[in-house]
Amino acid sequence: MKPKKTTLAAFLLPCILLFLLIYLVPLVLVAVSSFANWRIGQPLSFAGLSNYVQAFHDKNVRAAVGHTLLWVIAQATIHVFLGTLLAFILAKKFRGWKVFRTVCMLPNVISTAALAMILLNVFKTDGGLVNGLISLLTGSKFEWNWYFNSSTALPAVTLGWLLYPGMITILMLAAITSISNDLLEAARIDGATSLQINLRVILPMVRNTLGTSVIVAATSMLKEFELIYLTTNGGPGNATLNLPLYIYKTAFTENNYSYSNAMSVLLILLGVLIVYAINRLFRMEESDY
Amino acid sequence: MCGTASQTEWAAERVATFNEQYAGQYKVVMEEIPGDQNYIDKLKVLYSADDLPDVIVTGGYNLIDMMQDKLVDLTPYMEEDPEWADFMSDVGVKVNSRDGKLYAVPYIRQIVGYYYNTELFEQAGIESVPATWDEFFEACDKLLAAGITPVSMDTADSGWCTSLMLGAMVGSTDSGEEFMNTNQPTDYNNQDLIDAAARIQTMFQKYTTADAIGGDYAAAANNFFNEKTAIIANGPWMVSKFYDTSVVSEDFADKIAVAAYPEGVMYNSGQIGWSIASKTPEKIEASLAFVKFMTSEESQRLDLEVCSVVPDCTIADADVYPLVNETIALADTAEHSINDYQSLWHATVVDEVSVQYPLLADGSITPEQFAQALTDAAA
Repeated sequence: MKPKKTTLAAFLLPCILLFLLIYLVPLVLVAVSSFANWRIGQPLSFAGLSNYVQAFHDKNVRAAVGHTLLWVIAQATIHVFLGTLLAFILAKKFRGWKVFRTVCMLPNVISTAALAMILLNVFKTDGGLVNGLISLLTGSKFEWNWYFNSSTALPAVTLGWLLYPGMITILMLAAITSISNDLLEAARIDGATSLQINLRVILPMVRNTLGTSVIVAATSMLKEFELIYLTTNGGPGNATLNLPLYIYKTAFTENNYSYSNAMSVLLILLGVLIVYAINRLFRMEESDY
Repeated sequence: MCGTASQTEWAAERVATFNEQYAGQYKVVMEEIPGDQNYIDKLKVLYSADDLPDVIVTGGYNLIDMMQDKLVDLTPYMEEDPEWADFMSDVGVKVNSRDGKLYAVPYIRQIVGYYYNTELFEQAGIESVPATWDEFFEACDKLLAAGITPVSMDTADSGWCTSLMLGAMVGSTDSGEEFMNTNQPTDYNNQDLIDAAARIQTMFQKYTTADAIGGDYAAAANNFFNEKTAIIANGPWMVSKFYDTSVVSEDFADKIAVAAYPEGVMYNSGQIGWSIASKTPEKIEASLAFVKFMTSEESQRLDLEVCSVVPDCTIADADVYPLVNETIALADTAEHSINDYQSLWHATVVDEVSVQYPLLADGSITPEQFAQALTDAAA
C-alpha cells in the first residue's frame, strides 16, 4: 500500500523544520555575511566580493586548501585502502578476529582530546615513544620535535588519523559478510582463486559501500579540527593548517567574522564538489547486481 | 571575570568577602574559565553578541582598544571621587586610558625580570649576573659546558617566557625601549626586533630544552622548578611557587635569585585593570562598588601578600617574600623600563609569535622574515 502524501509530509515536517532552523538559516547567514565587512569593534558594511578576493591572495588560505585537499586524497585512498584490506582479512574470520576488530575500532571510540594527548606523548621530544624507540635502536639519545619541526609536522599530524581505519573496516566488513555464501561457492566451483574472488566478485558487489566509505573518509577531512588544534594548532607556521582551523582562527583570534564566513562558503563548496566527484567515480546511483 | 591561576585564591576570597559585606544589596557571581586564551576568546564572542559581563579583568591582555565602545568611561566617576582618583598611580591611569578617558581601574604594577638558580650558576662558574647580552650568552655557554640547560623557553600560548626575553632584548636600546612602550605598533621591521629575533633563534637552537618548541608556560616553569634549567623570565607572582614543596624541592627557594635583564632592562609598567561593561545606571553603580572593592588598598595588599602580585598603589609594610621586594627594587632602578607585549601588541600579533617561533627555531625563517610576519599580522 502506498502511503498518502500528507502522511509522508507530516512525518517529514519535523525533520525539515529542524534542518531549516539548525542548518539552512545559519548557512544563509554565513553566505550573506561573507559579502560584508564584519569585524569586532567595527560597524557592519557591504564589502562585495572583497573577502573572496582576499582569500584568493591569502597564502594561509592556499596552504589550508592544499593541506585539506592532500588529507582528503590521502584519506580517500590510503585510509580507505587500509580499512578495506583489514575488512577482507577479518572476513576470513580467523581465530581471534573479533578481538582484532575491537582493537581496530579503539582509536575511533576514544575522545579526540584523549587521542591527541596520547599522540603528543608518542611524538614528544623528550621521552616520547617514537624518540625513545629510535634511541633504543640506535643506542644514542635521539631527540626530534616531530610536531614542531616544519619538515615532519605534516606527516606526524597525518599519522594521527591515516592509520586508524576502524570505521571503514566495520562498514566494509558488514558489506562483505552480507554477500551470499552461495555466490562465493559458485565462484569457487568455477575455479576462481581466492584473490580472484576478492577482486572480481566481492569488490564489485560492495562498490556502493566502498563509495560510501570514501565519502565518509574524505569528508571527515573537511571538518578535521580537534586533533590539529590540540597537537600543532596549525603550526609550525602554517605547515599543518587546514581550512576549519583557519576559519576558527580568523573568527576567534582575528575576529574577522565575514572573512571567516567567506572561507566557510569555500569549504562548503569544496565539500559539495568532492561528494559529487566521488559519487560520479563510484557510479553510486547505479547498481550492477 | 578572569581568575588567572596565580590569583585564583585571592579572587575567590575577595569575591566571597564582597558578597558578605554587600549581602542583600549586591551579589557577584564569578564564572571561572580555565586558561587565559580561552577567557579572552570567550570575551570576544560575548562582545560580538553584545553580552559582555558587567565586570571584566583580563589578566594583562589589552582588550580596551578592541572593546572600547562597550566599556563604561570611568572618568566622571573618578572626578566625583577625588580620593579614589588620587589612589591610582599615574602610570596605571595612563595604561588604562584612551583619549583622556579611563576605561579600566589599575590594580597591578607589571614588573618582570628573570629568576635564576644560583646553585647551577655556581656549578657553571658564573660569578656575577650578566650585565650585557654578550655576557648573558657567555654565561649560557658556561652552563652548557657544565651540562646544564641554560634557559626555560616556550612557544605555545604566545610563548610567554620566550616573548619576555625577546621584549627585553628589544628594549635594551633607547629606540627599542621606545618601541616596547608603543601601543599597538604596526611595523615590526626595526633593527632592534630583528636583532632580538636572531638572539632568540640562537637560544632556541642552543640554550633551551628540547620540549621548548611547541611547549607552553607550564612546561617551561616545570623545567625551572625541576632544576633542569637555570633561568626563567617571569614576574614575582611566580615567587610563591618557589616555596611550594609540592612543586619544588625543600631548599629550592634558597637557591633562587632575581636579576634585571642585561643592559638594565626591566618590565616596569602599569597593567590593564578592571573594566565595567554594565548597561544600566543601577548595574554600573553595583559594578563600580565591586571594582572599587577589588582595587582597594586592602585587596591590593592581599594580592601582594598572598599571590606576590605587585600592586598599583604603594604598600610599604606588606608581609612579602624577600624576592618580591628585590624584584620591585630592580624595577625602581632599571635603566630601561618597558611594557609587556601582551598589554601593548595587537591580539593577532600576540597569536602570531606562537606561529612563527617554531619556524624561527628550526631555521625555516630568518629574523627579518619573523619581523615581517609580525608586521603582516598587525596589518
